[in-house]
Amino acid sequence: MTLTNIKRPLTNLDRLKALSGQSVIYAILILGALWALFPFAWMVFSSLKGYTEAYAAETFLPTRWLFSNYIDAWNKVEFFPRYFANTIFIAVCTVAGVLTTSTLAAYAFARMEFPGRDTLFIILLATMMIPFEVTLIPNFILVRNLQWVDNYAALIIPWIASAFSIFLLRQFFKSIPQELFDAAVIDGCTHLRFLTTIVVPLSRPALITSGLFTFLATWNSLMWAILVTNKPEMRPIQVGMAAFIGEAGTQIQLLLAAVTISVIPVIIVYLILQRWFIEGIATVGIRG
Amino acid sequence: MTTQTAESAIPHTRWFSSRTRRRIQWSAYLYILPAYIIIAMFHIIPVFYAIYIGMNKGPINKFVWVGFDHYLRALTGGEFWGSLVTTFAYTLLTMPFTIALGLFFAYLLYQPFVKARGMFRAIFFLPYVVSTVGSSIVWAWILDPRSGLANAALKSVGFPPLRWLIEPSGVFELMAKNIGVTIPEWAGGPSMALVAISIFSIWQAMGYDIVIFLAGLTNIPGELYEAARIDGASGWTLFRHITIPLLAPTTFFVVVISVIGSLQSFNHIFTMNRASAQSLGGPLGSTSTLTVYMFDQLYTNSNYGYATAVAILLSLIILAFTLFNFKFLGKRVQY
Amino acid sequence: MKKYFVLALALTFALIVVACAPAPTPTPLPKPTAAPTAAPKPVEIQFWTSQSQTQDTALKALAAKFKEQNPNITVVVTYQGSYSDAFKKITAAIAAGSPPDIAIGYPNTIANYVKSEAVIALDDLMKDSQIGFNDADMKDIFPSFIDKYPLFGNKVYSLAFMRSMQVMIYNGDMLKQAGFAKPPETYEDFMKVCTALAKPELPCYELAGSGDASGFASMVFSRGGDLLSEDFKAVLFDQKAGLDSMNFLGELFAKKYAIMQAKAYQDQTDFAIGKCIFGFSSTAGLPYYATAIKDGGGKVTNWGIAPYPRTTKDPVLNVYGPSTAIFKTTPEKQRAAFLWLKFLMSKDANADWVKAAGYFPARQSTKDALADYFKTNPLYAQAYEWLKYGRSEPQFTAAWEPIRNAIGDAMVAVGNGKATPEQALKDAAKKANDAIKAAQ
Repeated sequence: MTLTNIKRPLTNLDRLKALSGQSVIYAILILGALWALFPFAWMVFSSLKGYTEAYAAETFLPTRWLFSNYIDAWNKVEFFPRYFANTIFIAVCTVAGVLTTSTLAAYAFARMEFPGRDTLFIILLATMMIPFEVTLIPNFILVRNLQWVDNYAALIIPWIASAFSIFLLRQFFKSIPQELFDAAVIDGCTHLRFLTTIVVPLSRPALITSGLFTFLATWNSLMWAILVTNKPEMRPIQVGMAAFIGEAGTQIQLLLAAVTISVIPVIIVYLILQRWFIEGIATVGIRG
Repeated sequence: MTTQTAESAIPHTRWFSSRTRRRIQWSAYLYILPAYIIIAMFHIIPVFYAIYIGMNKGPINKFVWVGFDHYLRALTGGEFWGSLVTTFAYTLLTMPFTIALGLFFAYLLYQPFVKARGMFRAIFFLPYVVSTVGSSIVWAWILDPRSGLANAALKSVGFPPLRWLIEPSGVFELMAKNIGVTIPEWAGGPSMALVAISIFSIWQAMGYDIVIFLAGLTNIPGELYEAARIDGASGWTLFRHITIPLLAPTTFFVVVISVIGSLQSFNHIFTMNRASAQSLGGPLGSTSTLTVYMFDQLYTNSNYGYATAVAILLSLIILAFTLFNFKFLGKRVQY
Repeated sequence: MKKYFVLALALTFALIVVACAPAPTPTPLPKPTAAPTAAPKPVEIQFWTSQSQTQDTALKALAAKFKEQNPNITVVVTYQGSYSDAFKKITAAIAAGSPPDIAIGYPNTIANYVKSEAVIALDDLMKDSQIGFNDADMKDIFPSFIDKYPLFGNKVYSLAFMRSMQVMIYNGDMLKQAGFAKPPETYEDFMKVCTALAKPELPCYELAGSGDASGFASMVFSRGGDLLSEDFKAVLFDQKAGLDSMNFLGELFAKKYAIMQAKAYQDQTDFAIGKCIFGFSSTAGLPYYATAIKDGGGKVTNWGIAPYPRTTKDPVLNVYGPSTAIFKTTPEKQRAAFLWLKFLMSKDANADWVKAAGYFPARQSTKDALADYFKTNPLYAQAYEWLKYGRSEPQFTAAWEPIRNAIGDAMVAVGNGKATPEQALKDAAKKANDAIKAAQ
């Protein structure tokens, strides 16, 4: 990184200033991190408590550490491993689909001239404004007519294009310097080659961001999954989690254990992606 | 599509940047085709069906045509407008804070001297990752009027306890009452419950904005900062003259997306009210946004036609705001 | 270059579609089996439920048992999420023309299916000489398990194989402290207990912010009143019994004997750790109370259940819960579905279900099959004896859900001091009348 790479010699006063500024920033970051982390930590600790203790929520740490809650939560749901595998498969396919369709479309919207471009883009955005509940029934009818009920297709295909991702990537593609395009022209580069060899590598942070959000959206959708599946072996994890909420009570410690379990893969994915995330255009530079 | 026709649509290998010569690139349609097929099938066509539902009443498979009656009923009734006001209040209570905090923390996390950035980023992103089914339960504990931490914190700085999620009264009403003034009902302001849900909402959505802003910040060439530093710029000046303008496309994106998301907000309100033993629309309906109202009409009252008409009206309102954003904000950031 | 471009584009897209969309799994053909019993040809019926985990397992076990008796009928039990998720799913399925064959749901949602003409009236099947109920059956089955829908010709559109009852839960030690040897039978005695013990940290009553319409129904019943007229076309809950109930609630809040809940099921936990004197719950909630008390570190040692306090001579208890409806399919499937429902309501199967889920059974004779269960579950045995005093909530109309919300809001308005009991009840009655009009 080049931010602190100051060319003129540093005086002691400069160093002191920088140091105190840094301490303030650290203090703010730690406070912010505590604010973000605390409810999550409480949730995890509560998932290790007994039923009444978890509900009463009077203490932060469990008085008895019941790691068995996790085993119970896992065992309570008949198809937990299968649900888990399904969710991962669905999420990975959806992310791959969204990234492919969005990269192509976003590139066209950001960098190409064609009649109706702005209108088509606004129509695309407008689809985000319709509440999901309204399109639920027509979409279900369509999926049923395609005979996709109890098929991964129903859980994946409708979601492999995303106005959100197209919009996000378009913004990033637009900010790639014009000089790169001009240089590419001289090299006799096609659009597709330019897109794959220059735009995509330079937009890694945006691609990862859009992939991450797609992954999370898939990870947290319940109603659509219930709608288009009947066989338990086709269902994702959310169905298993909903089962902890009963009609006259909730097995709260098990529910929280299940929620915690479901967070783990997302955190792993995030930590893996981080490495690429940090190396963006700023560190790679714009050498093309 | 056949290969032949598609091929003829591809321009010559040599092309020119739009700056030097504007020419139509027909191949663009091929680029948007895959996305558009899916969007058309699952998002655009259903809208036409929704418009049709909105003009009918009765059970879902036995519709009776009523034309624009539902729209008339919504626009002339108090519930629609009341929910719209709640929707705007919720948007104002959440969106500015989420964006400001998101940008603030993203910028701090972006500072190169910060150690363990990966860990910090993961922590800040965590609230967004956890299913709201779980986190809403914890927030109900925190905001519990009797034993919650929020009131304990207020007490430690000498403030009286609040009823948070279960308080249907407006915040201005409560403040006025505190100093012994009674104010008219319309001036009561958003309910305390709505404010409490907003806190949860900001906590949860902040990580989302941080991730997007970080991606945007990472896209700003480091050389620019370097050059500015050589010129003697630092701190606020750097932020003001480099970060803000170069981050504008990202900020614009976040604003547009947040407006759409906030005006549609449902999930936070739904899960939080469930976790705090409240009804769908919160204490005495005081957190009923338009989407919550629509949901209630759809599933509690089984008014498919009316609920869909409300949804279409909401979509039109959001569309108006989005077009406004594009026209005015978009121009400013040169998009 | 151009060719590659098109190819790459087409390929990526095709790949996603192909890779992620395996061919639809063919539904297994029903195996032809001999020995036709009631259904001459093999049929498979789809049974949609909101019963998860152990209850789901119990229903699947019953389906296997049923298959032994009826080799030609295969029942596929599918959990479809909470009752509201299942309602959404069935609504979408009706719109798409693919409803299940039989499903569990609350009667007010079933009333919506009746409006859609998606479910069948069961009167004919019940009277069917071959597969219907005989006179002995009809005597054996509790009347509150046979759902008549007044707005739809008073026909039976659903039957129940499980019901719960709204009861009061008391802390025996605290009662003793207040000078009572047994739970209060009148509202005056209830108030005396509160006056003796209640304070903001130890309330008598905790009201959920969503209100408690089933609790209100219990109070009105216990004062000899009713919520709706018999034809479900007029509101009765705003009359004397309702007004008295609402005033009583108002008094509890005014004297600070009652508080509003701020966490889901806070009443259960608070009771379990000795922070609330009474609980009011459906019997379906009792296992949660029991767990909470057992797990609560011995803070409550002596607890029990009782009917609500009352002004009537005999108690009147609110009996309610989910029912089962049969969807319009083919005559064979409808008959098969009815056989399955009849099986669920039969003595032994129903007893199995009761043991797994803790609900009340449809038949009086089931008692014989439950002798052991009664021994291990004394509270259940106690409540079972009150079934004869049971009265159904007016849940057999689509208006019931909005009416519940209106009543709930009235209770919350009183609890928050936002309206007088009279005013709150008046508002609720107005909303209820609108809902009744919309439901007709």
